[in-house]
Amino acid sequence: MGASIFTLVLGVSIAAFFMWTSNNGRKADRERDWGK
Amino acid sequence: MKLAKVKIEYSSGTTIVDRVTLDPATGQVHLAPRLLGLLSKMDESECSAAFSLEYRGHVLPVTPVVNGGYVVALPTDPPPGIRQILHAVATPSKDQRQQNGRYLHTLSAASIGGTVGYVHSASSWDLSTVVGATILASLGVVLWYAGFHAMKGE
Repeated sequence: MGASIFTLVLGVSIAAFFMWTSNNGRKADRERDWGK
Repeated sequence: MKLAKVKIEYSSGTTIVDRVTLDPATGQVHLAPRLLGLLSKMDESECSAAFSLEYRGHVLPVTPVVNGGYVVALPTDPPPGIRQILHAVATPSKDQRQQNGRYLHTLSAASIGGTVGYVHSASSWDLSTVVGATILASLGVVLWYAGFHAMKGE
């Protein structure tokens, strides 16, 4: 059970991290492309 | 002093593209007398224009100041060292987001494959097996969605 919870936490953390970086990247792109 | 490209767009559709001198320390924009004359002439018959300046890939709004000059707020560079590396990781480009999306889809496929292997290797369907299989399958979906989100085009 402990291994399952560890897997769940690790997987959700990876997904959340990459979703966060994607949002940051899009925001940076929008700021860079302002006015286009 | 650096040279920078500016774009002045009017509501009627008239667009002026020119180069100006930019002071990166103060953000002051120095326009050529020819361009200043053109702007004052256009102001007689046009609404206020959208004035933007291109600097290091950023397109920044240029604002007039009271003494008749123009200034632009220049973006600050990320601090050097480890924070610059972290900044690069935290703000990926479009291509890097695509790669992150592919990586997440690979992990998703591994989770789905792992679920199948886990279920088939279980000798009996006890609570632990069901929970483990459910978590792996759910992770497969979550990681697939995260990869889908990372690959989303604009």
